[in-house]
Amino acid sequence: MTQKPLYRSLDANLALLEEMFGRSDDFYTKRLMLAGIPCAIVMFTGLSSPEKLCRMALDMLDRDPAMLGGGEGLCDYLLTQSRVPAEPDAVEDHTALVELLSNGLSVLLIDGVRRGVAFSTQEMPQRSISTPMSEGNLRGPQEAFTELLRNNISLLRRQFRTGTLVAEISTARTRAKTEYCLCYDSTLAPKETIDALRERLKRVEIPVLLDSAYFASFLKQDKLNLFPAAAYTERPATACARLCEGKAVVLVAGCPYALIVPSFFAEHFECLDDYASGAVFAGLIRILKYLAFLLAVFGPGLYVMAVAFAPEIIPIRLLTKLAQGEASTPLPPMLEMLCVTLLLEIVREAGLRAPQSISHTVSLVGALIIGETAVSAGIVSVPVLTMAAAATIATLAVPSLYEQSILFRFAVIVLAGCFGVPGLACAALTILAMACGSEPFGYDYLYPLMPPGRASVRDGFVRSIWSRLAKSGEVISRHEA
Amino acid sequence: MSVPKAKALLTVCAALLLCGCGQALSEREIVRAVFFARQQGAYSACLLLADQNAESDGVQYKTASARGDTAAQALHLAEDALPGRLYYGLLDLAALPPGCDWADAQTLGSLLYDKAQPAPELSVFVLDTADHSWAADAASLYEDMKAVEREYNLHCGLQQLFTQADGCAVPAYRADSGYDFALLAADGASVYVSGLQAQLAAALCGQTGRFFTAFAGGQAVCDTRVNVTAEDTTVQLHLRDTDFQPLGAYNEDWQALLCTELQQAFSALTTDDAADFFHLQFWHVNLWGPGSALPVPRLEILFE
Amino acid sequence: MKRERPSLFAALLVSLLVNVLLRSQTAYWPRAGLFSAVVCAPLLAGVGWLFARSWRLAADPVYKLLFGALLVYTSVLELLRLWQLADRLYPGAVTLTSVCLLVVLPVVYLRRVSALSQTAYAVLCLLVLATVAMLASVLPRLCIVNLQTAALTQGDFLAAVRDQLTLYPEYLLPALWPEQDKRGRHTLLRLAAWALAFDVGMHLILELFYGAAMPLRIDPVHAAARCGALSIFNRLEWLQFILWVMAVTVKLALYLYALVRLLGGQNKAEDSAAGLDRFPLYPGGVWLLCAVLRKLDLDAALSLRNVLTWSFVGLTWIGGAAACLYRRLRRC
Repeated sequence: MTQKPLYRSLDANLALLEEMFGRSDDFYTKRLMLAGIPCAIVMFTGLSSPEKLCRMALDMLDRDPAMLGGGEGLCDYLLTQSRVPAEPDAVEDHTALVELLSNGLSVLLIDGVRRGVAFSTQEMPQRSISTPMSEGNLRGPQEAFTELLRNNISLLRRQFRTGTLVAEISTARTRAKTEYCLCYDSTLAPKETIDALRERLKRVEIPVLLDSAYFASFLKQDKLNLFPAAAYTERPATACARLCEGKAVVLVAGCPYALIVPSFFAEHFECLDDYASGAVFAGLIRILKYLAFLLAVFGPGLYVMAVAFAPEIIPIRLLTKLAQGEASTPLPPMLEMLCVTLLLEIVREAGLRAPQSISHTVSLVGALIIGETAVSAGIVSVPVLTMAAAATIATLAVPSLYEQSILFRFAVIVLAGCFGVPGLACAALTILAMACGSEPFGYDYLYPLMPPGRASVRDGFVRSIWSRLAKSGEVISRHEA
Repeated sequence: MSVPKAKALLTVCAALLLCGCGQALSEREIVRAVFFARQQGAYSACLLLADQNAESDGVQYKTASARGDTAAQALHLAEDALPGRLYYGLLDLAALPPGCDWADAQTLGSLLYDKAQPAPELSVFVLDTADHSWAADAASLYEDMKAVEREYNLHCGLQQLFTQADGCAVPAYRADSGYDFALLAADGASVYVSGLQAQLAAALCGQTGRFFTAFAGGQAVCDTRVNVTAEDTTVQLHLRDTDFQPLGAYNEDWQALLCTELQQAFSALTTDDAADFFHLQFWHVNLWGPGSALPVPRLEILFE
Repeated sequence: MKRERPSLFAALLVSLLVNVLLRSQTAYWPRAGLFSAVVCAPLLAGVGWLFARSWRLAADPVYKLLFGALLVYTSVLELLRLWQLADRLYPGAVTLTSVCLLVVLPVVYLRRVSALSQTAYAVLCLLVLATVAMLASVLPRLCIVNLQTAALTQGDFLAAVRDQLTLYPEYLLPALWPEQDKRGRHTLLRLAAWALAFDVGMHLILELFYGAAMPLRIDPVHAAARCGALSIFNRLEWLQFILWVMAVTVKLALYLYALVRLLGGQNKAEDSAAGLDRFPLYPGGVWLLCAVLRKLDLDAALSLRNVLTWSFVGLTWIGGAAACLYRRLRRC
């Protein structure tokens, strides 16, 4: 939409709005006289509250004396002198007018004036702040972001109570004019990273922005790389912790997930509980998560490789059992593993997408069919099923790398099943090269795991005790001076 | 992507999926042990295989054997008799023919080195002289040899056939109890010893860490952990946690009897200097340099 | 944390270690090797340094083309060597085409120098861990009495020197890197010292394992890894092989980077990557050459490569000296 200025005539402005929104029943206009000057209030009833407007503005306007200077005087008075808490900047063009109305503000249009006065009278229906759905934690704050951008910023600011927190709100270049907010700590975040991020976000042009994840693909340096360029969280506490590390958080209106940039591989294995529980236990859990990731990615492929190409790595007693299992099923190990893994993914997807009332049925039927019937019918063997199930469960130990785990797993199964040991080597090196080649804003994606050093054991593979962690907080800009 | 390219990619993917899926486990013939014997100038080779299709639980075995003019030929014919693809990656044991000499050991060792891929860590024994029917005895021979290995803490790997240029030492299987020991010199006669002498030889060669044998004419059994150190040609035999179990008449000084017998055994073993089986030359050269004459070796027994 | 001036030292080192790991025959007794390494390490470093100096003066398209051909030839030999090992380990399981495909495929992600540098560090760490595991697994089988006591002859020393003076292209590659002054001092010396120390160390382990039979065994390192007593399932070989495939891939990626620098023009940025459009040329060409040369006698070909490398270095020295002389004459 072009930046068309407001008309001087109230009727013309109203006519234009009528033309745009006249067919929408929630569009509300009310003509009124203020100090003898014809004015009109415009708003969307679902987004703004007339009662609030009345309470905060009109009551006070009624009590104000007659206005000298006509419409312009009234406008200046409201913007600069009146006790009425109007927005400090006047609305001067149609684009801004529509944006403000869509954001739930009420706008007072005055006859003979090319400006409007906006009032924050939002009262939108919203989901209350609830506990996080996808990031389970035993300890720490239990509140999650919601869909309202302002609420999310306030949640962040409540946790991060310093003057250095900057929250830059911008409008994305989308058809729906979705707002997003770039948050960072002005003293900790590296300036060039923030500038680059701001610039890249500004350049993003997509038809619709419904999730912060839409931005992620625009932030990738190498489009062939499957590792994510950013991390996501629905916990304000996690976002706050990342801000303390000098990273930036991007909040998108309508999305309860914050985008964290830059993001490192090790972050996917960290959670708030790590820091609330003892260092030894947290270290053990973290190592288990790394092992779970390896199992999720390489477990089924390794099994296929061992059975089809390198039986020497299997103990002889187990080997006989595996051979018997394999002989009783029609498919070769690789295809069998692929089929079972695919089927498990279908069951998972169906359980996730199906209405909640029948999702349990889907899981039950899936488990029965795969777990019981398929084995007894001799379609799949027990060892294959066990390995596939173990890998699927292991995937859930690192949920933020779910997509990657699944894709890598299929690739490893195919390569190891087709080419054996060199295939597995190829898959492993490709994954390693992807991780090493990922450079979110010029930073090492594998930091602090690679290169191995003190940082790897400080808060990498395991975490140190708090007294050591507290001595020098990890800030990404520290090594740049 | 244009249609032909997509089709080509799909074809490649399908070919990958359908063609290169390795070898089915149940179609592999997994070799667990190889036995060689020599009969009337010809070689007989027996492959002991894990039976992948056995109905019952646990590891079951099957055998394949053949005769040939050479060991390689016999082995090849035995392999040919099997329908599946031979897999030596889980080979566990190799038995050399009874009474074999150094040249035989080298030939068979080299043959196994070429065959046994990938990664088998196998034990080597010399077979006893009894007449064996491969089909009936191979599995029990294998189990017995592995039991001897476990019980006597004994191990002779394939590489140990080659570590010395002048000879090699290999444990020899015996059906009744314990094991014999074969000292196969490159330029001399092969010597087979048994009883305490065999166990001392195994300890001196670094192939065992335990003595468990009868001595004093079968009147007592000695069970001890053993460790060997050398200082020039003085060999120190450290015996730890020694336990004597009398089997016959009571004697107060089993220790002295054992020492006497060990000294006799050591003298007998070191009389023949066809090869440096016990590395005495090595320690001596380290102290005095190459070329110096080797004095008569001594055995010092230390109970700890 | 921020990537600045990524170092390719790890990639060069991994590439050199591949030569030790995939060697098909032990070359010398470690005692002789230890003495000769003291002389050979500085000598190799000196050759590399002198080559770098001459390269700056003499590099013209013909030299670049020759260097590129040498790198491609070495890539082909590495692939053939790996294929032969794979075929011996898992007969019939892998074809030459699949080895080429599998080794070159990850190079797509190693085209940028920062990715290559980081991956090489990771592979080096994995190699070190695997070597430690391998050593631990063969520790009970390493007997001190297997060391040979025969007095060393002049021939033994000559054999060690001859082997250690094999000039691998890795010693020449730093001449192509930009900003050589900022690469740290003694890079070549460190590189040669590490490579030769590893080589001598491996020979020592092999002697402790094989004793008198050491010079006779083929694939010594691989065979020594057979005694996998530490491994849960008593077998470590597949893991070794995986790491060796990774190391060869890093080596080929390094060569690709060098080829881009050689044939893509010196003015390219350091992070220059082979464009995806031109990338298939490299694996395609290497695969084609591998297919043509598949029946090559590798030992002879590797010796020939050594001769070619030395000749190329000699040619560059002559070119460098001539260029230097010409400049001085012009100044006079």
